[in-house]
Amino acid sequence: MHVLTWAARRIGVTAALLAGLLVVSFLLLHLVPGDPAVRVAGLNATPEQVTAVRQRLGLDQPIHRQFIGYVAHVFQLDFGRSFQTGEPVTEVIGSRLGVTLRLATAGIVVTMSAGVLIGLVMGALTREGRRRGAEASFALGTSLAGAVPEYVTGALLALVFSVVLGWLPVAGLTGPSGLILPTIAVSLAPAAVLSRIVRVETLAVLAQEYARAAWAKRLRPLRVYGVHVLPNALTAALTVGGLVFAGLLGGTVVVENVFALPGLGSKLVESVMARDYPVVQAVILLLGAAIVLVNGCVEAAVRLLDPRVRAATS
Amino acid sequence: MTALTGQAVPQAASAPERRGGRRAFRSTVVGPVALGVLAVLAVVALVAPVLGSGPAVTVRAADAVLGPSAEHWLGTDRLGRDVLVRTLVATRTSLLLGLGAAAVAALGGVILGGAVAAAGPRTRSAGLRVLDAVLAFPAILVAILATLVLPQATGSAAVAVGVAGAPGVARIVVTLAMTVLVRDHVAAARGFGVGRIRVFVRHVVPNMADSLAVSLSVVAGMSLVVVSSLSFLGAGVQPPAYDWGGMLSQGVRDLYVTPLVALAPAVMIALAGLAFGLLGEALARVANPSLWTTGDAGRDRRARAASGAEGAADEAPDDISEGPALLDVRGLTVTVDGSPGSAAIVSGVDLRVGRGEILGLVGESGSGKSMTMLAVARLLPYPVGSSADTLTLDGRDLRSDRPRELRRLLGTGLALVFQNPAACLNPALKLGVQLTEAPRAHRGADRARARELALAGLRDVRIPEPERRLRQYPHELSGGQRQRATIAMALVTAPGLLLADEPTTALDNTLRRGMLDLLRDVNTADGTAIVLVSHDLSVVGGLCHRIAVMYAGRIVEEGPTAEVMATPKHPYTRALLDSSLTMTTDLGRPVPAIDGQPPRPGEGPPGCAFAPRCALAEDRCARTRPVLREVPGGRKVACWVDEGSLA
Amino acid sequence: MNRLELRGVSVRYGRGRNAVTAVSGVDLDLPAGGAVGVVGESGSGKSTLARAVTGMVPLSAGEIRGDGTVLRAAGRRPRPHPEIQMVFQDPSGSLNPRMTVASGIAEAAGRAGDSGRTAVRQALDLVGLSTGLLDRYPHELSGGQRQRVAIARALAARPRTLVLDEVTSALDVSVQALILNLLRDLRAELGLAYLVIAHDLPIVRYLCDSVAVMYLGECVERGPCAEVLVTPAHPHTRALLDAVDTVPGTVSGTVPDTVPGTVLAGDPARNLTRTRKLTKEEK
Repeated sequence: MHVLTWAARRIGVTAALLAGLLVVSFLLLHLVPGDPAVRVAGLNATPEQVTAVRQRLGLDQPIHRQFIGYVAHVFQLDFGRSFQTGEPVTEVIGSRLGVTLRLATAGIVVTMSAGVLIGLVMGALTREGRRRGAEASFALGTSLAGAVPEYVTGALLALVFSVVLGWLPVAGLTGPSGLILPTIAVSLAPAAVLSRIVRVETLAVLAQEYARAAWAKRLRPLRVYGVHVLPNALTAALTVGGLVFAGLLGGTVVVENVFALPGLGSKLVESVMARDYPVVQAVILLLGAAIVLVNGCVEAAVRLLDPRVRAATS
Repeated sequence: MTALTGQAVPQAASAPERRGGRRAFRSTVVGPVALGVLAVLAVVALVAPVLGSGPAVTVRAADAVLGPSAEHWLGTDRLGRDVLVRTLVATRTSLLLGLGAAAVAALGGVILGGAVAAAGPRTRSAGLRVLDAVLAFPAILVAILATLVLPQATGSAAVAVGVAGAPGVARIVVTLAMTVLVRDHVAAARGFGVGRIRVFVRHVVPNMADSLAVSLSVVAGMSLVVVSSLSFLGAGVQPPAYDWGGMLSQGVRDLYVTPLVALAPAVMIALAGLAFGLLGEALARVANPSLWTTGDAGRDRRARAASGAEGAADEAPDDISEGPALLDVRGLTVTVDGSPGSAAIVSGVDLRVGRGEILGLVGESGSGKSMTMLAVARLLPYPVGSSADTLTLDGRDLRSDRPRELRRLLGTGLALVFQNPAACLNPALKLGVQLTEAPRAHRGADRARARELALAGLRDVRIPEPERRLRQYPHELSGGQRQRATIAMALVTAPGLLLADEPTTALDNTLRRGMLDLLRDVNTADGTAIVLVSHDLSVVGGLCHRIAVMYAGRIVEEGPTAEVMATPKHPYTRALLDSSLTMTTDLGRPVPAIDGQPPRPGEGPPGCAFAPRCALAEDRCARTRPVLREVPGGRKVACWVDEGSLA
Repeated sequence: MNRLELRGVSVRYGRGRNAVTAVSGVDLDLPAGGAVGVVGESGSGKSTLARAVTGMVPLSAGEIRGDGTVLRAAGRRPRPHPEIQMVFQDPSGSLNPRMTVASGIAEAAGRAGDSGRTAVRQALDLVGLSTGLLDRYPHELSGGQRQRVAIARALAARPRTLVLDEVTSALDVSVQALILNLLRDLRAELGLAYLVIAHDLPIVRYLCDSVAVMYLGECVERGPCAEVLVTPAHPHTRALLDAVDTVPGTVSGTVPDTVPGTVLAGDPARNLTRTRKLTKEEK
């Protein structure tokens, strides 16, 4: 029963967030200074053209009617047509979704596994202030990886592996190898940040009485770290998982532009530059919904993994 | 940009020590280096646009895409402009926009966060929920959308990034303020009638300022990076103005031809971002005293230890009574970092525990009693080290340094229980896992046999429904059951010796009594020998056969419990007994107290360490250290003062 | 204010279905210059009672009167009363790490300038600390010194009543004795009234005239120490007395296996939940 209560509450929160997202994406067009119809029709348009656009978009209607119409269209998955190309927005997005999905999935897998593994190993090596040298290099390395933006990483990777070594394609989507550099570029910074968090969490767990008790049982180190430390460190990794995912998605938007990948991110940037509002609205809705849903799943996973959270939320 | 959202919120600092903090900052090395880099960048930002704005924009088609040369150190770009000059000139725009964005984020975040933190509990939790929801969206995405709404001007990029960063800062402010608001000194100040705003200004802000500075430094670096990302995407600085991000965006297109065009601004962005990040890290170390390295202090201690050791009296080898002991420790010395010259926490301790015996090890905090126990269990924390003339358990030498051998020797022979017994259970694992892993690892038991042992162990400590317990997590048990389960876990391999380190200190009287009772049962039922470490003589008195009293790393008195308690021979033991209150303490007189503090490791007089606090001290006490000598009645005492004068 | 009276004091945490009663219907009298101990296990509500008296948590029922005037009552927003001050268990948490000894005490005295400085010196003098410590920060003091500063700070507010919440349990035995002697001297010297919260019965016996025993949020027995701690009437009081560690010098005999109605350690919320359930069953 309490699981259901929890689920119901969680679904309610998700629904509220999605509703908020609808409002924000709707208001986007209206927050832009000046007449939206003029913006859409272009600065050189005649008054007649502007009026036509206003009617076509329903901009002459009162704002709540516009919103209702907008929501109705969204639920029919009808986002209108791109101003730039005249194609239906759903088709534009459909053709771009796959690349972003693959890049984001690869990124999150690499980030989570590398971040947790490196953080755990570094935590084990530097426990109780051991190996100060290794700790300093780790701090420096992760600072560097965390401070360098994805597009710089991407450019440097392209320079080394494509230009100098010629191993991998420099840009464009040419089979799976085309995703290797973008995945590294997207994952490097979040993995660095995550590994630092996991290391700190590992040290915290090792200082707990139950970790000392595990050592006192004379278990092998692999068992102490694998069975006693890892689940707790994983919970920590997952609780920041939502934030890591947000960072990854932001990185995806940028990295697609570096490697000229035909994904949602490059489409979003292109549409923002061209003030192609229907496309911007649809991409924002889609990315936002993905974020909201992923965060819901992360919360469920934390609940599943950590018996204490399960007890506290029931 | 990941780090902007994924930044771990630093804890509010508790106890700052200014001099120590400054030393900590210098000792990080990266702190001063980061400051130096930022200073150089600031000079470049000031000077370069004045000197180089001409060459930076002059188009010379003839010089296009040249490699590095004496004239153009980093070559030229597509339009024949000097890459080095352009990179340096762009410093001003890039830094200003980054810092502007950080300022917007900081200002917005502090106001927003302060409002949420200062609000009532309902508004606060609602505000937090909204902040968390906003934070789930990538900062770069929010910034891109904000540029849609803002007018197309160079400053807009800074505002857009600042707006995107503000919720993150707000979240940090709220978290920091809330950790401070629940502290007792805030409650105390309210009790004095100090007003709400004054409490915030004098008690909350100073205690979060350091941590906030750390976060803001990191936010500055991140803002710089996000602004350049925006420019890279074409949504930030608009041509003909340019910053590093914009340059990089053009450079990437010519990556095959002139990689330096992209490399130069990339390096600058990385450098500036790293400098801010490292500055934040160095500041974080300063704000958190627990991260300060002991460097100088440790050296001082070692030096003092070396000089102090000379005054010691000759170490007469103690003639320990014959007969096989379960645990035999002779000449155990524990030092702060394991090297021979370093300060000793424990010096020349001899301990013998017979089969089925309960020994109480008593002393104040810092007397070395816990370190003695951890040294015996070979579990000393790094970098503490130990040496001993003899260290045997059941006749087997424990002085090996090979983990495999120690696992074999100690896995079944010895078990430990720490200060808060209930916390010895891993909250993420079912009891079944935790109770069966030791027998499986050391007794070679299979799953079924290990389960039998675990069930028997739980029954022995009288936990009802043991089968069900094995499937439960620790939080599903009551506090008393958790303590019992911990004892069962320690005893499941049937060790001959149980080391219990202050197992009752964290408990109230009722639970304390239950724990002592359980230990006694374990002792009488299985003949398990126990070393009970405690600062409280009254706890030890009710349970132990024999007592050893430690002071400043040495045993000063040892003997059968009843005799030591009734007629203490060492003035320290007497003082400890007198100062603990009982239900029969004379209410008409003040409680006898021991003034002063015990010496720290490596400090103290060359003679008896207790002499400065001892009412009976004579001249020689401070000069020459008394050795632990045997006195009639199977007792030992390390004191010059005649036993007659103590009675 | 000469006399503190608690009438039917109740404190509830949370609201709706999740509400738990931490203190329920406690009556207590603290005469002028008197000392009353409140004892009980962790989770018995004794600390919550202290917080209610000092106005750190609101009452859900009942009232607290000082000299007959109502100081705190259910539904009334708790306000600080300088004449009631609290000394906390852990001085490293109750002293602001960013304030010197002098500024901390001056803040409590509520006076600035010369009269403030005089008040600070007087307060330090009372607890037997040298004025050389005035410019020290809390972390530059020993544990015993810190607790003395905390007591000096409370005294600077010129209270008539001190609420002492487990003030010695974070200290070593030898330091405990110093603080206990100081508290006894101060009471005699200044005519202060004490409300002593402790789980350690010998401390209450040493400091107080009378004692109230808390169990599951209710006061189950109260009276002069000489009676309650010698001839207890309530079984829980007997259980608490039995659990007191043996007198040094004698090796204890057998001990009761479990104390009836033990409230078990763990997180406070869990305790409170149990408390609620148990109280229901009892009724």
